[in-house]
Amino acid sequence: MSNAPPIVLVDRCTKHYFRGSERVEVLKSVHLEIARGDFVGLIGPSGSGKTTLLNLIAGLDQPTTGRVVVNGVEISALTESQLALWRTNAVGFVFQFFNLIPVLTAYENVELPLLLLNMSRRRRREQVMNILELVGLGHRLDHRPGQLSGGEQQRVGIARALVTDPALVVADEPTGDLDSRKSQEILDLLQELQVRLQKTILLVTHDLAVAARVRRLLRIQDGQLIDDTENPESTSHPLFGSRNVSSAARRLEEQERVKPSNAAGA
Amino acid sequence: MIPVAYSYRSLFVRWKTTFMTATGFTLVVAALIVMLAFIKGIQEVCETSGDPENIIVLNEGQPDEVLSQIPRSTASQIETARGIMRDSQGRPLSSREFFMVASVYDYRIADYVMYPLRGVHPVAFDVHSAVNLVSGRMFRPSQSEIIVGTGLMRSQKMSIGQTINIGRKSWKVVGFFEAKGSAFESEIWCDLDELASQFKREGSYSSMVLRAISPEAAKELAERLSDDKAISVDAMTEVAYYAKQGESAQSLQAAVWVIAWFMGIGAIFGVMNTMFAAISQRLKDIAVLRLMGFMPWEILISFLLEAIFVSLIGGAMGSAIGYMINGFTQSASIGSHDVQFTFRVDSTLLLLALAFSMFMGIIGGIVPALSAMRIRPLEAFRA
Repeated sequence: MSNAPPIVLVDRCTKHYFRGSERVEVLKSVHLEIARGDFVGLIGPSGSGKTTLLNLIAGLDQPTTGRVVVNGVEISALTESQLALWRTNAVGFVFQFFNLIPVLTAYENVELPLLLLNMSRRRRREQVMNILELVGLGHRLDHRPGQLSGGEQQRVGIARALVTDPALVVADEPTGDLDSRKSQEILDLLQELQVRLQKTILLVTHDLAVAARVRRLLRIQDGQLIDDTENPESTSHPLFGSRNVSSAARRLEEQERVKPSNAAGA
Repeated sequence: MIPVAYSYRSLFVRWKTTFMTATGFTLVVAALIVMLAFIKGIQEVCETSGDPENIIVLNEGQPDEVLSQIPRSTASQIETARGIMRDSQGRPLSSREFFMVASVYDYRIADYVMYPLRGVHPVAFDVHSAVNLVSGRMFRPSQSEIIVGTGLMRSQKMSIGQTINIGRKSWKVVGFFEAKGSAFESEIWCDLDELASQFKREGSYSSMVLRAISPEAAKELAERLSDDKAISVDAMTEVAYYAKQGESAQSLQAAVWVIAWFMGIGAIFGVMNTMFAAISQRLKDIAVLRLMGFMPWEILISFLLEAIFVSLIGGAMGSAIGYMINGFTQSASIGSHDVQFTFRVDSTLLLLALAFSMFMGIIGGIVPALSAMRIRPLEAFRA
């Protein structure tokens, strides 16, 4: 890794909430740095805190303690309206269920974030067309989400996330609603865009096959980062020592069943 | 801003609900237009019925011709007053009139019909300059002949040569007259002496209409006659008289708006219910929009616009239905006059009705829109 300042700094963040009188610890002093232009995966079982961590980094939620700095901005100190403005410019979102606006066309869905920026109609059009061409949907501009396949909808979702040229793209289970072939296509696309556009991508998943595609993999369990691996598919990591992802998945499940709180520290 | 297309396309996606909700507005707007068109028609009759140079004289304390009685001697005294226009032979343009409402049995509908009858002398046609014979001929004295206003002619489907039994006599229709859409067009006119004789009212008149030399002179003369204690009459210009008769329409207008508001409450709750349902189905949309950086007020505007669109669709349908009443002729009582009036739906009324519909849409839409505005993206995603 280079010595350049990280694009994401999660500095000893905790997050808890109350369920009635019971205090629920979601994140326990998480410390994390992500380098600019990196492709990072965050894996963990349900309820491990991965979505909460993603929400903190994406400016959707605030930590109970600690601070979050993204692209030089301490977002944990921003007000809600400042956060809304920051999100428009700084972060793109890709969702599991695509979350496209069903009554708008592919073009209009991608154009939406640009409406928040002071941009001419012509420039908006150029930008939308470019990004839709890039994701291979230049011919499906006027189709509404209902007229597109799942893979195509996710491509529109990715185009929408990238159209404002954000420094950071967060993707929450982006292939969770796709079959394996479509999943591979979407991951290929994300990887290609990450390289071509030099974007930092933080991808949350519980799918090992997806996790194997990232450059750096973080593992979270019980609100703590327990593993941080670079090039996971090529290392002798216990999960990825084998190229057989499905057997690795089985090993991960067994490992979690046998020693559920094997915290290696963040 | 969130594209307007998002608001209106969402309506067409759930078009059945939109249509049903809009129907509530349609009914309110259509009813409002019909009621206001009725009032406008009445007001139009009252506005056109008065000649500014004419003065109506009734006996003191009687607001209406039917109850008024002016003795013959008083009438002669009034005609000597200054300011009354005179004809080439120096006779005052003063029309002594006997007005009554006769209940006449109509065999065609097997029911009684109320006919306003006015007995006049030939000078009445010089005083009431708006009255013009349009077909047939003038009635002749002592021949039991009548002429009929075109409004009454149309509503009662009368024809020349037809006879009408009024009192003990059978009267023959010999002509029809127009009076620039005024209340006279709803009347039957005949010879004053013949009518008064039949109803034993020879000694007095219901009213007098005096033609003044100018509108200013008319006002001055009316005041002078009213102030004259010796003759005990109330005099006012025809314009003032009919405006007073039309006051009932003004008070009716307030009642119409109250009714419209009560009806509107149903439509307001309808759109409120629809919008709450729409919001609960679109929590993810709201979350995504908020997440992208759209501000809460932009969400509010977007959903409020949707409610306004529903109200405008309903309002437009209501306006189209309400407009059908335009030009429809009906009779109504103004004071003791049963007048023919025409429902009037003009662009001002249509715009007013649409604005009312939109206002109801805003009231019905604001509460759900506020709730949409307060939705937090994370909570919406978890929902």
